[in-house]
Amino acid sequence: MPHFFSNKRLILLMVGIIILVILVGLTMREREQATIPEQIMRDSVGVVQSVFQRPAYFVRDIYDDFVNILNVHEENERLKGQLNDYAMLRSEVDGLREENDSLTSLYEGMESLSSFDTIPALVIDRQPDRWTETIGINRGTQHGVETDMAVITEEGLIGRVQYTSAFTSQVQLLSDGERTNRVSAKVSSEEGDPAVGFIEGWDVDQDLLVLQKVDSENELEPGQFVSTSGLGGLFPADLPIGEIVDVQVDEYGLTQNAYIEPSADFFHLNHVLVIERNVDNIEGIQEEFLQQEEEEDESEGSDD
Amino acid sequence: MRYLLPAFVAFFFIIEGTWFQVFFPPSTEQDLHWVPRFAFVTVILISIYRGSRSGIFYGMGLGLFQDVVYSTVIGIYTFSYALVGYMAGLIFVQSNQDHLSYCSLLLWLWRR
Repeated sequence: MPHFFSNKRLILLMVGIIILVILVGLTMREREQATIPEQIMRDSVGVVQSVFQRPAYFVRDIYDDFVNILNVHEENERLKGQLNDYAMLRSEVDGLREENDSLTSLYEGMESLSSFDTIPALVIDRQPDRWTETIGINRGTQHGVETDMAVITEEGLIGRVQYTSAFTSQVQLLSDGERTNRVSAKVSSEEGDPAVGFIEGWDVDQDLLVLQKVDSENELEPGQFVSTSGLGGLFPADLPIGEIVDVQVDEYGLTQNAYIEPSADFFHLNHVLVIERNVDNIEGIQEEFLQQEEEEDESEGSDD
Repeated sequence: MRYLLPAFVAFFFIIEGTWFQVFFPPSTEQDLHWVPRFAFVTVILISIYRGSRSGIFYGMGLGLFQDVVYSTVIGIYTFSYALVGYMAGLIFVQSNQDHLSYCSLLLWLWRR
């Protein structure tokens, strides 16, 4: 057996291992923000990645269009069927919108918790070995993206912004099973209050999201829709997440787990929207509430 | 010409995260997921043909980028790629003309 390492190399190897341990120890914790050198590296790689990615999407789109043309007839039939329901829905929506307008006008200057602006972004990298965990997008702090903003596609919620740098940022997907990655979600039911639970990761066997910690008194059924509750404080309310496929009682029998088919297509992410919550409004609403409470307190005090 | 090799590694590194996932996205139907390691194989080849020293530096550089750009913990890929880069270079030292040994190594890597 030949000597793989001479003395000098052995020392170098030891120093290498020590540096490795220090670096891993420093970076393993959940960090608020990536360091400046990291941001610079990500930005410069990100620029090259977007240059590569755009023609790739272009070619892919052409391919997809070609496949779509073959399916046009089937889709047409299906859409005609749906069109019949459209007229009914339309009139119902008009009615609801009028009602909503009249009700919101009563509360002057108050916008709902679900109001937001969006920043469109392009997915520039996604590694197959971290497929369910993170993606990179080509929008950063310069475009107004901040950590913990919600990221959606047209169909539904996909994740939150984990790290930002000047021109790129990293998005943690809903399907990442990391323990700190939780989203407060609600299941809307026709009667009564919505059931509230947490989206906690991805079931690998069934390729479905898992909604956990739902009170066992709530009756869940396959086919119910799941959306964000807005109670977590980070995400606006009523962003669609998916549809329940299966419900099971958890291992202790106290709460229920629901398996959710995500409404966003996690396998073809290319254009996403970053949600900029209207924070001013939220603060305004809070202040308004506080003022009202103070006034009520004063009026109660004067009564005594 | 000096920058040709680094450019080559960088090109494969970029491809791994961008083109590969657009044209060969993993799907739920397959049990097998393809994970591209083009840049890593290139580093091993460089190390075999040019010796352990370049193997370490290319491995460390590539590993650092892999850590920073695609993951959150720094140091794992940096260290392991540098180590494997060094190890691959040993084949060069011991069997200068023996193509069989590194061909078998490469085949093993491709099959993974």
